[in-house]
Amino acid sequence: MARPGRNGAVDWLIFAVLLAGVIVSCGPFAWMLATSIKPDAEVFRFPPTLFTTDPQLDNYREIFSAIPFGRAFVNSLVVCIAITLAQLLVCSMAAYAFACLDFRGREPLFLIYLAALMVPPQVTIIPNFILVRSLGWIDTYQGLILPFAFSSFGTFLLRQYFKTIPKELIEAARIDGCAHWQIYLYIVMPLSRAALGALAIFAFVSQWNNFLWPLIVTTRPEMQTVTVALSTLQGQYNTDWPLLMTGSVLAVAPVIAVFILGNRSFIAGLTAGSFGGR
Amino acid sequence: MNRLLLMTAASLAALAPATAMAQTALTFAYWGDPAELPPFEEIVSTYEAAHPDVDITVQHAPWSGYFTRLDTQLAAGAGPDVFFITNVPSYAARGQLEPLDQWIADSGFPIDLYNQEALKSHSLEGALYSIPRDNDTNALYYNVDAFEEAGVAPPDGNWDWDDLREAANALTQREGSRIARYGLALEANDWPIWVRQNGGEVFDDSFAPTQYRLDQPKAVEAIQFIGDMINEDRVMPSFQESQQSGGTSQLFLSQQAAMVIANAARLGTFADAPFEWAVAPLQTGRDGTRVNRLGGAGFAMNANAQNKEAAWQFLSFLAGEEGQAIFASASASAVPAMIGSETVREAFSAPFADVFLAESENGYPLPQFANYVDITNLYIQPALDLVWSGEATAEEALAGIAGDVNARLGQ
Repeated sequence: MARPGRNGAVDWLIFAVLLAGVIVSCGPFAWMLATSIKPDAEVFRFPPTLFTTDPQLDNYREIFSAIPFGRAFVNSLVVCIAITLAQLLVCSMAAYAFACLDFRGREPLFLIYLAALMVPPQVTIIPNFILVRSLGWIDTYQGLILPFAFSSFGTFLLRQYFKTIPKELIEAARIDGCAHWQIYLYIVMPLSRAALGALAIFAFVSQWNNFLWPLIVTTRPEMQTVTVALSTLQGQYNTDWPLLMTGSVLAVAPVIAVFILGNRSFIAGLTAGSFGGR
Repeated sequence: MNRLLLMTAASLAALAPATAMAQTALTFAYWGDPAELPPFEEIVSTYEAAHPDVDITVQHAPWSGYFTRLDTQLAAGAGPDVFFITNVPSYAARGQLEPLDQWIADSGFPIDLYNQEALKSHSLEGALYSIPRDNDTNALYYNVDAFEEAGVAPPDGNWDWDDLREAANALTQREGSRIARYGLALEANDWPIWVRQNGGEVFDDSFAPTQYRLDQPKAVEAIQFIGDMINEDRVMPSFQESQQSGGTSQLFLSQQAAMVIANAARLGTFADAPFEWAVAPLQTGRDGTRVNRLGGAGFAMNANAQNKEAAWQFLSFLAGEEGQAIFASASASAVPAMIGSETVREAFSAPFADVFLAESENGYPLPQFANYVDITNLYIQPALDLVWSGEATAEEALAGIAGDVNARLGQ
């Protein structure tokens, strides 16, 4: 017996809508890839060509000599991996306190913590810069990493997830003599892999795309991240678009890799628990 | 007792050069496209060679990120000692720049060799805060091949608005409703020149304005003229379209615009163009009035510089005759600001240098005062955008903001 609501025409309609969505979201990537191997003159040609007849694969060599792309790539990897690990540790410990410990003032404290989510990062840039500068951390990895080592968003995400872990499990562990660090490490963390995975992807991707802070705290080319290095290809009067797109193709590769690796936990994390569709 | 103190001071002063040898560190920040960087690098290495005790750290950023970083650094009371800058009065009003008049007087820096009008856009309330590098003089770049192909006589140096418009029309190639090649492309910030060419004004005074004048008939006519070239004649891309197509340089290089009005930096950008091009003087107003831009970027000293003496030494080299000559002889060029110096004039040997030098005599200082950037962003630019998009006439749009702008000027 056919399931109610299943009907070929509707399926095809849904497919068509989804396909349109796929084209819209993949279009820019395809365009970026196509532009990266076009000769200069073809970039703005009308009618536009998707596939060039004269591919300039040399761009993929030139990008490493035009700007210190290799170094910037390594910098970005170091910074993003460090920030991701730091956020996973710091946020999960804070979330454990907010979700699993009973202490006076917990809710007001959490509200204040959440209020930090409302403060746009641009507002805190100058105080952060003053702090980092007085520590002598301009042009250093710690200057790039430590201001992002915690995240109120990440704490919020994990706290909501930790709250969905049945209290009985934690109480049972307590009765078996577990200390808090053991409950955290052996009960809560292993049960929260989906949420941790989601946070890891969020943290990695948002740091990989971060431009403002690395621009401000790095002045030497050796310390620049990929975003800042790529921006140097954008001139006031003229921009080498194929080269910029070549750099962009290489720059999105790690993000795509992280997403594919973490895809399952990302989706699970997003829809998990009381966190709803956010 | 006093004498003893004096002697101690004197002997300390004598020791000073020896301690300075230990290394004076300076930071110098500038922006620039890759083609524009060699003169900056040459100046730094020349200066370091002549002053082995000085170690200059350079901070280069592209135009797009330069001011984000600089503004943050300055707001934090930090930042480079000497830097390349524009919109000088805004920074000076925030107390972030060192006033230079005393330094100039004490060291006998030849400030008289500069165009005195140009210095006004680097000043605030009579005090000079930066020394201009260049005059940002514009000229008309045109695609010689396109002129020949369209059978249009090249500009003879005396074109007025209507000649330019006519030529733009003849050079525009239409394919159905699409424009395959525009006759002309303009920079979005060039409209004040047109206002002035028509005998109009943006404000009653470029540096200490009390009245908004863009709603007066002459100014309105100029803005409408540009708007009409975009929307009525369709011989010029809208500024938004121009930007989406990669900017005026890209339009010219890809032969999607046959003429472009731009500064001398494009001499470098267009050097490898796959067609023949030339440079002509700007169009004149309908009564023959010649007006060009005046006032480019300049070099300033940080009000919080640690070693102001050393910073001034470097700044006076950078902005002085030698530095100016290095900039003037660079391939990605700019009309030098120290126009009264024979050495500098001679060093400016770029192709079409004579056109640019002659045009630089017609300079009109663009408005430049402390809250000009705010007024532009809040009122003038949105009103102009309505004209450029054809949604409003210049008269409606420019009259509509008069009250708001005058209120801001009164503050």
